Amino acid sequence: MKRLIVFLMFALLTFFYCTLDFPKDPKAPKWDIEIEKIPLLKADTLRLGDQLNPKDFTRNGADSIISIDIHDETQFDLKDNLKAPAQHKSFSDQLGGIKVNVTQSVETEIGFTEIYPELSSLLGTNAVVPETQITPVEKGLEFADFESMVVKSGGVTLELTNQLGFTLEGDVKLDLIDEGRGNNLILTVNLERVENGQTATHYVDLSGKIISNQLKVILYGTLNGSNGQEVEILINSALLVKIIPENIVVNEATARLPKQDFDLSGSADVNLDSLRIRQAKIESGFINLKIFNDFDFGIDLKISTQNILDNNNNQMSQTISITDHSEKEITFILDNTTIDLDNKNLNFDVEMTISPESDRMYSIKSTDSLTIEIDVSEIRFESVTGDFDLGTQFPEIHETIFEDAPEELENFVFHDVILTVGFINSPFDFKLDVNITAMKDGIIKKLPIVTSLSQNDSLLLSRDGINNNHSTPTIVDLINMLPQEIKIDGDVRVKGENVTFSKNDQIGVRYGIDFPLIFSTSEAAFSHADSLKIETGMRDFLKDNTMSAGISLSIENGLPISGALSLLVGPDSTNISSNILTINLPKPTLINGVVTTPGATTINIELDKPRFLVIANANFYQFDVSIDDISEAAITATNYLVIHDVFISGSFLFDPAGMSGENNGGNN
Amino acid sequence: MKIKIILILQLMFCLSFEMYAQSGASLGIGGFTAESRGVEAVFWNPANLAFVEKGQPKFQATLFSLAAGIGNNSFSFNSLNKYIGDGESIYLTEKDKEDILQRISKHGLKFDVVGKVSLLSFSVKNFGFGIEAKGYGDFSIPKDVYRNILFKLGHETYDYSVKGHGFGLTKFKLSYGKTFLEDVIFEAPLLRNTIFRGISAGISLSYLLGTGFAEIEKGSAQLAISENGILPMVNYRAKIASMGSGLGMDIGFGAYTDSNWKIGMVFENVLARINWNRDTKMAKYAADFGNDPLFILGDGQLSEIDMDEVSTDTTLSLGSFSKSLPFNFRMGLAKDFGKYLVNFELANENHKFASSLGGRIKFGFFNWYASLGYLMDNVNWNTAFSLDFKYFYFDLGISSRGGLTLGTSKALFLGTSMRFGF
Repeated sequence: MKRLIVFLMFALLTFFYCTLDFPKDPKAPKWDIEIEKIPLLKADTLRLGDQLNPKDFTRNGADSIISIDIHDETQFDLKDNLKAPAQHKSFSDQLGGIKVNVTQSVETEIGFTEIYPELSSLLGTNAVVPETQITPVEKGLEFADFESMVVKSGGVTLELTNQLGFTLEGDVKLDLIDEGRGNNLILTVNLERVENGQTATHYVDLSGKIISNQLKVILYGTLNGSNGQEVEILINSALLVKIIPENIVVNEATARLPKQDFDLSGSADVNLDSLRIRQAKIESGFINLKIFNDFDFGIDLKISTQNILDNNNNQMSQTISITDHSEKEITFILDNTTIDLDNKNLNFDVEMTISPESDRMYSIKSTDSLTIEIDVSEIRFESVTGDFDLGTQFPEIHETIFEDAPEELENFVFHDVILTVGFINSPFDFKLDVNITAMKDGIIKKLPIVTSLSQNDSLLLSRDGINNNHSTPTIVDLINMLPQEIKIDGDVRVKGENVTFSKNDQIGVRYGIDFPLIFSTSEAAFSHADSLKIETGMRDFLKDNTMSAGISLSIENGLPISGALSLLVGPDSTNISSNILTINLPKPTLINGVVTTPGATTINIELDKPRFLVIANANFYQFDVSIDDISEAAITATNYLVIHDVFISGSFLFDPAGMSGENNGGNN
Repeated sequence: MKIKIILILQLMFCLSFEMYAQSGASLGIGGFTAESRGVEAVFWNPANLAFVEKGQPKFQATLFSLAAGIGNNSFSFNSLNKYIGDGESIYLTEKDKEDILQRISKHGLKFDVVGKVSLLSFSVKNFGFGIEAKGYGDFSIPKDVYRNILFKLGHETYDYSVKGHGFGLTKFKLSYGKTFLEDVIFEAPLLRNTIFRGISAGISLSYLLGTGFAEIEKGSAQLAISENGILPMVNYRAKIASMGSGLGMDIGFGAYTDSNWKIGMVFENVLARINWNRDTKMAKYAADFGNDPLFILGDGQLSEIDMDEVSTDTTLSLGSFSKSLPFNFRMGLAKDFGKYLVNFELANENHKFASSLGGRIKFGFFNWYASLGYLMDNVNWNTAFSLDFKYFYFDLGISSRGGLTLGTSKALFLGTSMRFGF
């Protein structure tokens, strides 16, 4: 019996010992696990001064107001303005007084018998010559060197030589008459007394007179005779009359002309109202002269450019010979030459030498002129010293301000913006006629600026207008439209007297946009909604595994703004109304917009199972942010936001099977 | 008297445990430090080579002797099965979680595996020779890991350090035992009426051939959570080698009395050092999270940490290195009543304190062994039988940790041996 009991016990033991009950579909267990005040986030001080890129923002001191500063430079030149336009001009210079080749004198004699026709028998005898009333005796005189002259200066000398044999005395007159001009009396000479054998001279000034070469003299009056004395009366007894030309310069003549020089001149004006040149270095250009010789004789010309100096600082000159009634051209290449105008015209000196044929008579007038056509090409200057009043295009400035301005800033009104434009390295004064254009999504707002700036002045745009003139609108109005881009374009006039400027010189434009972060807000609120992308596994986790959770945090707000942030979720985009949490950013104490005492609070966010279910079933979320109204807030580098003591607590269902995806179809 | 006996039994039971035995019988009785004779003394206590039992063959040779087992210290199949759902997860109540946590030893969840083989061992008179191949490994995971996973993570410092080591070893052992005192009475309390028929000492010298070594020298993983943040720390360092050699020495003492008390005491691996010199490597893994506490979210914080960036995982080749085998101590006390034998063992083996209380009943050539042991925070049920035909011997034993059935057992060990003699 004992052995049977032992055997049965052994058999039972063996049976239980060897039996294992395996589950067919083994599943790991699941259970709740708690976490309690696990540090979620490190205490973090968000100090604006540390966050802002120094390249984008400027702060003058630790507590100073931060500003967005855009400073840059651009430049422009006057290369295309340092030039004189091409021009065509002609000039002619009159010859003025003309020397004529009238040097040959003419003479005649009035014989004794012509005075005393009744005493012809006395010739060759000694006799007393009685007083007589002279029957006018005419004697012609003809010049061979000219046909007619309009005398500008000079005259003739009238010589009377007494070869009558007795003293010419009485009331005797000699008229000099231009027979070729209708017996026009030129002069009457009183022959009061001329001893026998003596010559009496009389100078006849012909200035202003017109004479021909056909002259005559008429002797008339009362001749006393020999005053009762017996005198020898020679056979050739006569009165000699001689006319000798003296330095006759004519205004007009038909005469023989001597070789003579004329100094003529001409000019071209390369100055403009916008650019009056005193001195300039010419980069390129030329002057072409076309000379017309309308004279009946050939001419030799030496043309000098009075104001243009070549590389050796010498005047440029060219000579040319032109036959009668023909034309020729000469060209002055101005490349690399200098001109010294001293605000005058570009002058040409023309030395003209005429070489008439000696045996030919020419009709010429003092008003006859030499005609020269001048073609001046466009002259480009390397540098100019002169008076500038040039208009040119202001170099276009584009600056990105808010490339993608967040809509959250729409209810922010910035209080001030300072835009400065100044010129550097410039000897000029300026007149600006520009537009400052703010552009945002096709919307354009313009601020026209017309102002003059002296050499060292800058354009200053601020909330106080243009250079504090309190004009409106202001640059602040433009900035508050949160433009994507600011453009400055237009024209600029550069002005300066006796200024030297080269084509390679640049006028620098220094500009800056200083944007101090001082603003006010009014009913500033914004929302952001989007689809809520939660993996199916996480949704299941929220539904099944999350029991409760809480986050506690402490906030110290040293920013000049305060407000509230709410997170809402909903099943579709038109129904996002379930509030999950709201965080209030505590309000700081501000004086003049600057934080003096930060706001502080502790926030506890409790999420219970129903809220997790709402989140798990939500397809959309929305952040509602509202900013408290602020009349003035100023951002400084020391502004900060401290979040500390952030802990998460909660209770979760730990489901290894669910985590491994055994209970669902995987993530979507 | 009964109370004293009960108290003594309770004390012995509390201290009782199972050792990694060498044969089926030793597995069943819990240890042979006092009782082993002949070739079995080569393994258990060389001093016992000096004693020859009546009828014991002068020459004994073990054809084979082996013991092997695997298990853990916390969970049986049934205890795990209780919380494994069939088709659907089981929700653990607070009570369930408490139950699970309670099952895990305060030393953590520990897995161990052992295997021992002895071949061609023999004994002649006072001498013995044995070849023993042994493999051992254990690995433990701290209890805190399970506490945190099951209950709560809060402001506390958690130590998740892991431990583990393993080695393979073959001993070529030459043993000798000699009686140096006979018929001695010690004038000591309780012993005045006892005649020690023989007191012996023994020594085993071994050539140690290491066949594999791995040890987590440092397996530190800590997590400190406080208001200041989270400070994790991971530092792992392990040595491995494939071959080594060395010498070992065991010293044993034995005695038996005129009233059939048998006493044994062994200091194993008094000198035992293996010079590991082949494929020696140092594997290091460390994660440096810095000295500043971390947080879950935020720049550079836990959620963003790329473990590849903060961790270093290197394997360095090493030169030879020496490792001492763990110093083991065993003491056995047995009372032989002829048909019955009661045996008590106390040991510190592989750095683990262990004890067992067992006995043997003899039915002619059939011997049945049973004992209770205590190892790795668990009670072990051991039983075995042997067939002892004087010149031929065979035994087979089994040990179960925790429970008596497969479902309630946390670990199973088997042992068997066969020997002959003449």
